[in-house]
Amino acid sequence: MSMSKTGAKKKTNKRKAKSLAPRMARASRAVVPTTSPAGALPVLTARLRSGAAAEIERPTVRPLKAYAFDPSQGRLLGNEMSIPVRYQDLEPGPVVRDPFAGNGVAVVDYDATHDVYYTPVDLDDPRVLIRGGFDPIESDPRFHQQMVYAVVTETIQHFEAALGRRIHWRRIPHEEVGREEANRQNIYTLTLFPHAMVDANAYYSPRAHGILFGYFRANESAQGRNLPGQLVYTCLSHDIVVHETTHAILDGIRRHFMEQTNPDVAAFHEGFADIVALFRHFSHSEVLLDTVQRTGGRLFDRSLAPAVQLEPGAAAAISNQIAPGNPLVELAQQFGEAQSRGHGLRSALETPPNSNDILTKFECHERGAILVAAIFDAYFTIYQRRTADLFRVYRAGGGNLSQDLPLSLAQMLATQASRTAALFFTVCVRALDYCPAIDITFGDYLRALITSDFDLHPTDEAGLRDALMQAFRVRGIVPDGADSFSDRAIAWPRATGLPPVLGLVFGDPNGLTRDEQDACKTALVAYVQSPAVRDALGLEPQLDVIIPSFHPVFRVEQDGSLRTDMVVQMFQNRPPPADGESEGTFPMRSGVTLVISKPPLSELRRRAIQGESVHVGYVRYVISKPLHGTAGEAREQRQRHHLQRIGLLDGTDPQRFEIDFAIAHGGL
Amino acid sequence: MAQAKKRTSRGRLRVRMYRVGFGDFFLITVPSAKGPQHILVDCGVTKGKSGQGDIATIKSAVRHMARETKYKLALIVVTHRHQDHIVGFSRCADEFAKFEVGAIWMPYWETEYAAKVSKFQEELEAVAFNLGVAALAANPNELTQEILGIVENATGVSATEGPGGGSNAKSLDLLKTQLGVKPQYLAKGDRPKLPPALVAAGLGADVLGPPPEDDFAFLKLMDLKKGSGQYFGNASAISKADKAGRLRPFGPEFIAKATDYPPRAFNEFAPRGVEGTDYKQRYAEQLEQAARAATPDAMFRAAKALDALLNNQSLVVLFTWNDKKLLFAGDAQAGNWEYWLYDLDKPIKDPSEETLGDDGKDILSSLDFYKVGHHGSTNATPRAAVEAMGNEFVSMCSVEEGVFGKKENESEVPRTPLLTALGKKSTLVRSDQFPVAVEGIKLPAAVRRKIGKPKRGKLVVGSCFVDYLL
Repeated sequence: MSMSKTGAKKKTNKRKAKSLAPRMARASRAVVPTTSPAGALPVLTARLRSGAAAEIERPTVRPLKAYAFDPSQGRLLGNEMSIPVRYQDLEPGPVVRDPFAGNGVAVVDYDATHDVYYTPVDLDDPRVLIRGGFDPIESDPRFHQQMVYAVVTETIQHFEAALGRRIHWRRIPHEEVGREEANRQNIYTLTLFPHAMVDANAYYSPRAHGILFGYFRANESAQGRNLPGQLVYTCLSHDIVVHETTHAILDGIRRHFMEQTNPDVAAFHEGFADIVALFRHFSHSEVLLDTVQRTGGRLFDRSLAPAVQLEPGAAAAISNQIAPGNPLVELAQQFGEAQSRGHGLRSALETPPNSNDILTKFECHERGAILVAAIFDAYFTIYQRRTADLFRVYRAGGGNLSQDLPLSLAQMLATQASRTAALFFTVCVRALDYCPAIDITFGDYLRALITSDFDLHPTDEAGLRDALMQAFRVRGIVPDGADSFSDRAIAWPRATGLPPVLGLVFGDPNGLTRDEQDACKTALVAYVQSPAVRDALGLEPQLDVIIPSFHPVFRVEQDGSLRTDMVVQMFQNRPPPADGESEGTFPMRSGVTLVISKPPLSELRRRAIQGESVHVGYVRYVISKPLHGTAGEAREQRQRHHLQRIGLLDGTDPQRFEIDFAIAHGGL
Repeated sequence: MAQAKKRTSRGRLRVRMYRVGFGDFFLITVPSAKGPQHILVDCGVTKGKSGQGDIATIKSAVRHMARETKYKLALIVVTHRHQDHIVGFSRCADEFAKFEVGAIWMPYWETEYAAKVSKFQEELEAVAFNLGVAALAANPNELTQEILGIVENATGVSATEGPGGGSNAKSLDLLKTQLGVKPQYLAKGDRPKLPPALVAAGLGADVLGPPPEDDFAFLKLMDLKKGSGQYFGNASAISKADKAGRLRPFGPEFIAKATDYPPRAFNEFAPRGVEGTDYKQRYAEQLEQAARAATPDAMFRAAKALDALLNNQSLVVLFTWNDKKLLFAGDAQAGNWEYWLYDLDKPIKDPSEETLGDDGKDILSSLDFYKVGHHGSTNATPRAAVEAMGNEFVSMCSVEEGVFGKKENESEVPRTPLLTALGKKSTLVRSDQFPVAVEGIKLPAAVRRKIGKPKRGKLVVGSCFVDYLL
């Protein structure tokens, strides 16, 4: 997603993802000490050691080459791109050196099918450095490793920019499963296996603490742009890498979204990962410009106009007369074609607007496609709205939309398209912080989207909330518990009457120190001791409260001031029935997400003057899924029925409820 | 036997389960004024993964059945086209040729008149065949053995000759063209035509499954073909090139060792929660093990999906006689059950409101006999169904211990918790629970358990079968 800040109109600029986290992170370690570890940047350090007095500033990015789509798209239209990846010290693999990163990755090219390793790439080798990384080539695994590293890291960067904080991989609270088990399952470094197996599949596997990419032979017939039987590498598909990385990131943010408690949960994981991968397409400027020109600005068309126009009724004589698919809205083209689908794996606009699909489609990809289509419906609505005047001016000046658009108009349209995509990506990602801690439904996600946008852009000049609501409504996605279909009714209600959380520390955008973490934990644990608070949060009075995560979030408000929030997740486990028959029971949890605000400076001053603690936070949102009451009972029944439907009710393995992406993907 | 006959003529209905190994072979005998009328439900057996599923008694059992019925069957019910349900027909073709058959019922999916359906079955067979070829080409291991077991069951063609021969194709041909009656192809909602002799005997029958031809099944087939895409198109190319290890992605110059990677690459897999972990060491073995454990075999996934697709074609029949209800569920899995259990033919507004339909509840709560679906495997009797069943019925499960699945991953057939749950509700009889002594074949019981005493009626063990008289 392009985060460029130049030339923006005022209106859109306000909405831009302005995160301080990465910038400040850089600032805090802006200079490389002369005692930098041997091996990193050998050329530069050698020069430093040779007695040069002036220090050389640490680079902020490392340019690395990758395919914008996949190898089947050839070299045209910027398919061979260079990604400005954040600079990290790397060892061969590449393996991120910082042991405390928390969001680090290690590429280990181990092939489980053949039980061999492939030569790791050393991105610090001067011969590699000087050309900005290996050039795209299918026959050298070192390029594959480089591309996987670059795309995964780029995806992390985009998430962190949108969220306004650092991410981490899967964390399990030891209160829930015991210290040993939590230790075993926690992921500190995500391990990436670019050629893990012979399989037309790629998936995030918590068991392997990483992502496994397969490779396979294309079909012998109807294999699209591939050669019959050629090898297809899933790790060279930009879309697939982004999609799988999103699964891993999402799992780090909301672990219980891997627990299949209703049909929307797995579908949300799939749909969201597709949304992230698809919005990335709109940052590839050359393809975007070409698509704008060949669709007459109608970016949502499924195919492009052929390069050479056909006479009506005539058959194509040369390949340039065949209308190609729209690369922006199709996912993983090479993969889909290699499996004889004749098009990409999935599309942004797979399902036409209708309210029946949501009642009848339960397979997680099919159901996820409904979410994807809703988001892109809203996206294209905003794009249309923002560009309508440009088209009017063009037509008024005698322009004809059936001809090629003039370059300057196409450029303006492309700029709007990519800017709107960046905005949507940010809104979609930020909404994660407003999602319930457990048991998500599409309706919940809509409420989260509306709330997070409401929170930061109360005026909604672009009409984004309205577009989202309409797009969800026509697909039959309705939020549970909202009174009407207006943005205020759909947004989660503001919390009222809750006492302030005392002793809370908000830290700075680089995260919390150990001491600050301990202070926050103590404060939150103390907060939920009060029966009145528990009642207000929808928590059970008797059960232990587990707090799997809390993180400060720093965002810029519409008026330019800094807003500091803390997003807290809590949940409780209902114990299994006492008769000792654990077989056939399933975990039921209550969960709540709290959005707690740091008071404004004036309030803090007042407190200081009055001798009150300045470490305090006010609860703004309580997003609760209780165990008790009619809501809890309905949830339990829904969960039981869903587990019945997918055949998980029987069994004794407590891990069986977790989505197994290896099987869910069965061909991705 | 003479005793048994007496009882039926005295007005008792009898359900007989033959012990043939891993396969269904049931005979229902209905008393009537014109003497006992017989219904045959399936006749098949398969070797399975272990190769031990076929205990070679099916020919003797068929001959026994022929004598018992005097070569007259009022009705043959064929639930679906798996080897363990139909291979007996062609294996004992000589015997069946002598039978006089009143009617044959088959699932809708066997109709030859709907082009769409026959194309579906053809493609399914092609998928199965390709899978078999790919599994044979792979290095033999436990997984490929299980895949071959599933594929053989689906196609009825053995890689190695089993005891007695016969194939699914031959059985279907015999049933459809050589027994003198035209089969009825049925799905839920159809009214089956009972032969007059059974109507006169006071028997009624309802077809509960399979769901009528639906797009969903076709979608599943698409998924199946996509999901195992790399095995199709040119199966022979796979067997030659890839078996020789030629699906190597890179040349030998790129082959490396764990020591070419920095120790840090393996830190994630270092022992945790212990003091003094040496992070300078390479924990390569741990990483490799984790990667291997996380890569399931795509072929195996495809084989399981294929199995489920065929099982869901099962004809599910509810027989009623004198207020007694007998449910024969074939090998129906979730999709098939759901259709009649939950009234899913209409889209549901809110899944939380979905409860068992009244019809489903009525049937289950008042059952007298249940033929346990899919040999007691975990996917074939929904828990909600077990819960809704009454307490005074007999269930029969045809099975041979250890033929499919594994206890460690909870896929063993039969599945212990399911049978325990059924055992609590009903008097459960397994076909491997009693010995066989027929035509010189002597086999001990495979599982040591006493035959229970039902709350109504009586269970009697014969030479190669067990009878339930009710």
